[in-house]
Amino acid sequence: MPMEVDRRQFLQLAGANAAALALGPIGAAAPGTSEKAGQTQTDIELFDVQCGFGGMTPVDPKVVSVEELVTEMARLRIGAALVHTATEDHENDAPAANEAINAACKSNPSLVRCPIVMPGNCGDLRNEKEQVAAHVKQGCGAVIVRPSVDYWTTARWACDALFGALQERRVPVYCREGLVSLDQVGDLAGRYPSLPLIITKRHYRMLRMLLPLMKTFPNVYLAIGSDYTAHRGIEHFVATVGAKRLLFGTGFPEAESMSAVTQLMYAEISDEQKRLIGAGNLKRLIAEIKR
Amino acid sequence: MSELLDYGRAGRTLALTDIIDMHAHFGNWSWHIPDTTAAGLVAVMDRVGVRSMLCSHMQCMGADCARGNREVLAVMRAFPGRILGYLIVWPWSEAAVKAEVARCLDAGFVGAKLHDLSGFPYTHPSYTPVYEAANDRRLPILFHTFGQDHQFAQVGEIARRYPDATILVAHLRTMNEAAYYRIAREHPNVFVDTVGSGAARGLVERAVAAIGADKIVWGSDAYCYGLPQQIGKVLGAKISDEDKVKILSGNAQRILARRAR
Repeated sequence: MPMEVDRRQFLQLAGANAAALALGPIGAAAPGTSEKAGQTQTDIELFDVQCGFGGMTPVDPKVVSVEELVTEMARLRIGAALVHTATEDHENDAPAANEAINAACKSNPSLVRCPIVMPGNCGDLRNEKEQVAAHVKQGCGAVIVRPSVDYWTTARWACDALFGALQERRVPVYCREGLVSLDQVGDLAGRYPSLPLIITKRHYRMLRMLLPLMKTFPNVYLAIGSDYTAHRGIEHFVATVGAKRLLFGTGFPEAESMSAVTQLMYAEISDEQKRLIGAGNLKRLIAEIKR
Repeated sequence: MSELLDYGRAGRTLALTDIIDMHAHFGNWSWHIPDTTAAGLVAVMDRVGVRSMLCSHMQCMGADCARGNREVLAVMRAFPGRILGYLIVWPWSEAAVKAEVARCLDAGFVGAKLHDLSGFPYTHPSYTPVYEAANDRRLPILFHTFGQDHQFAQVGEIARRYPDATILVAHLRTMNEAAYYRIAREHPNVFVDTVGSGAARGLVERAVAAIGADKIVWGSDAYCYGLPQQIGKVLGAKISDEDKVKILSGNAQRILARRAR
């Protein structure tokens, strides 16, 4: 149980000068110490939909190992994670990245594969059905598409076979900002209505786009990791599209994972809704993959 | 082990820690913000356990500063002690700025927020009444900075000229991170705030290592950003709870306690 920090201890910790503080009243008393209505009493299970390892993180010279990811998950009591190589847009060798993901997940049962897929119409990759079948067999929980990095288009003539195969097996598709535009997400969501599309790294200024997109397409899900930091943004989306449409994610290793944790845990929603967002929704989507 | 991390992980109110948010806003802006009420801000503060929030109006990025100050004053009066005001000014006339500063300080504002989206440098002469008042009364001035060298050059000049004012440089971020640390080291009256949407991993730890926890204050940028997300980077940082308390509250309390009466 966390220790209660009383006011005197707190001031000592802060190194504050009591006399000086007495000269600087800041008004009303501190908020009450009682538990707030609806406040979480127990740990909420967390399943991170938006995290990675290895590769490169801009401005950080250190390559983040799988062990560091797993250690950070343990520190914050994040039970499982859907993983890709970091960052999603800086990986130039998709087959090698997928091998690294496979290796990481084989040795860490808390990690779930999120490999890169792309149209196989140039002869250098297996055809789409085979790619999807292989990833499903290996236990993927979703796949990443990166048309802007891998130089393909989401026009039907270029990728219908890929998205058709993914829809057939109901494999969730991870669509990150900068890799797949919201216009493309909307187009794909309409064309493949049984295909779950997870949008990630959408920031706090985009609500005028995100909300109608999610209202229009029930197969679109929003990850609340970095940079989704809208004021009361979780509450707003829960009220308008429902808690089943949001997924907990952190943005590790670019972002500080704890920011996403507190964003969810302090949201003014029920514990049941936190459980859905924290892990339940992603577990359900993964369970619905036709293996 | 961090007890404060455990509080955040459980979503428990950080009771009795007198947390002060040194960077927040009130007022409408261009993108959609789900709840723009002061009551909504205070509700979030209560859930997290934030005692007070220093707010400037969103018009700090616009020109209708007098309206902005009136609106902030109204919420200061609606939530005394919970929402404290940073005054804002549009630097079109030194005399007009001087009058607005006097009006706001008489009304109970506790500091100033300046933003260079106006296009005016922080060294513009029309800002002089803000700096003189802050220096005379030992008030905090929150400067918008976003990693640009010219911003630090200007703010450093103000910090040097007005040593009794407390200078807060906003948005510690990975872009030009060293510049934040340099200005904080060079000037005893300069503090760095932690506000940033992306919550870059390890930034708080690096800042503590570079300049010490005594030179860092926490802010949320609510309601541009969500306060619960912004506090996570401090609660989860791999630093001591003692340092977290300094960043979340102790330093802010000392800054506010310096104010002349």
